Amino acid sequence: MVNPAVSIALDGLMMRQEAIANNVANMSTANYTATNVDFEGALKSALDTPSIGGTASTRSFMSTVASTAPAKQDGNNVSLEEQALLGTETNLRLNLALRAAEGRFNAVRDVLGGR
Amino acid sequence: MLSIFNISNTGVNFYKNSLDAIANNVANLNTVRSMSEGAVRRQTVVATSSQAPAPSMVGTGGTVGSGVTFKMVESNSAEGLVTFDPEHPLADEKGYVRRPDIDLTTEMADMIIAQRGYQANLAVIQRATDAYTAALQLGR
Repeated sequence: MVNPAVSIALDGLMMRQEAIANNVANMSTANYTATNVDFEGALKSALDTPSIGGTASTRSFMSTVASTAPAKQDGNNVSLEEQALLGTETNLRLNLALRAAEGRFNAVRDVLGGR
Repeated sequence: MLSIFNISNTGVNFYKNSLDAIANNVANLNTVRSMSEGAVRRQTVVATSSQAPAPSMVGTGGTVGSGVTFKMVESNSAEGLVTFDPEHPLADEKGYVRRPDIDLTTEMADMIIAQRGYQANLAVIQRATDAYTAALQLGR
């Protein structure tokens, strides 16, 4: 029902929020490297090829990327400002993807007679 | 599902325990012990979580990490600061007592870090609530 690309985007953005939560929770853990979730690259190349199979697992699009930001004295490189900014951006993107999914639902509702 | 709450919960818990330890240290700043006892030891909460999963494909059912784990550590030796205070009721025959080796400046700096960390984790919970609420509105 929902476009597979939108579905993958929703899953990926939610997982990015998890990664941000984990980074913020480990803000003072010594030798911790911040991680981010990337799915846009894999999703884009999948969309560029003609058939985006319904069989592909959404999780197979997601990969974790270690941050290369400089570490503090304790070997931790989580930047709270960056995480806060990324979290806000991710939430806005989530709302956008939800809006896209909702469009499809609204169309179905209209067909069913506006109930 | 809803795992952000679990992850941020570990973070909030960690900083709350840090604040508890700091409160205990500050409360015992002037606790004097006799020479036969050990001085009050400074408590710290140390994050011990292992590194998040190595950069790779997350794969089916994988997660990005499960938050922070921590343990309580009693630092400094029981030696404390041996102080000459013959007027003190706990002073030994030479007039010495043990004061805790706790530095108020360090405690205050640690307190600010713990407070901000607590707030940051709560902000993540708030944001997750917004995201989940928006998702629940789908199809309304």
